[in-house]
Amino acid sequence: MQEAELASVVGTPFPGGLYTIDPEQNATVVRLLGGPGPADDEAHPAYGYIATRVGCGFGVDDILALVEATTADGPMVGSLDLDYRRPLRVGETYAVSGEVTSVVRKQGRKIGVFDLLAFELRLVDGNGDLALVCTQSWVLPRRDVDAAA
Amino acid sequence: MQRPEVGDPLGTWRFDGIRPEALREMAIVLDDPNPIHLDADVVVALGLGDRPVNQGPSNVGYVANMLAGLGADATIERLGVRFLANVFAGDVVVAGGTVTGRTDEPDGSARIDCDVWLDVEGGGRALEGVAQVLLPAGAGAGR
Repeated sequence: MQEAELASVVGTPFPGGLYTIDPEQNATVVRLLGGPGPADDEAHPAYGYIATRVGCGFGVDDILALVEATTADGPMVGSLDLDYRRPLRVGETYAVSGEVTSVVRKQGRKIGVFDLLAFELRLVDGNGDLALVCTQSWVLPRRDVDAAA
Repeated sequence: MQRPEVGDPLGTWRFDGIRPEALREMAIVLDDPNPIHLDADVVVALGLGDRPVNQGPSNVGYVANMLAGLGADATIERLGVRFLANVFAGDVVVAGGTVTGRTDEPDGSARIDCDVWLDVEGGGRALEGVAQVLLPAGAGAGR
């Protein structure tokens, strides 16, 4: 994708969807991350990312396709900001929504030219209350773009 | 436990369980097919290293585990990080932080602001950021 086209992606909404924090999977996440597990019926804070990313209606490939990138480019998460308005609950079903907030082309010393894709995703609980706002940026290497271009 | 003061270090949290099979399990949870987490040959081809790259959100999860050391009833209200370097399968990581602010609320609760980070043991800093944690009334009210 040409640099001039990137701005057209800003504002693109994610399809959205519902995400339920499964108790067994929460236990798996706690184990994989080495615990300790949260108290009572709270989900591990990592679900601030997991629930929004998986429940947003786009797979990783779909998100990358917004800017004509693929997993073969070696994309990485650049930043992640989790704003918890209330603890995330195991067994709770959340509505997920969000949109692309910015895309900019940059150049790094190590990876060369890359696009920085940022988006915001939100979780709303069954009572209609905002539970979490997740903002993140992905680093998308552009090895096919001439650094001098 | 006494309430932390500005300048106090948070307890460190060390983890040595970053194994390739754990990355594969997490890839399923995250519905993330990115091969850099699954295939060392891809990592080599991309010039990123020679072992699978740990998922970034897992690195944030380790920091959350460290913050849990503030107390069983502590609630993370915000956790924002910038990723500085990859963590690879086989790495040992240590999460830590420092208290940068404390606001005692009228209801007896307290909000703790922190700088947080995750280091690779014997290596560099993998991420750094900030966190805000709510300690409810009565929790660590020793000061």
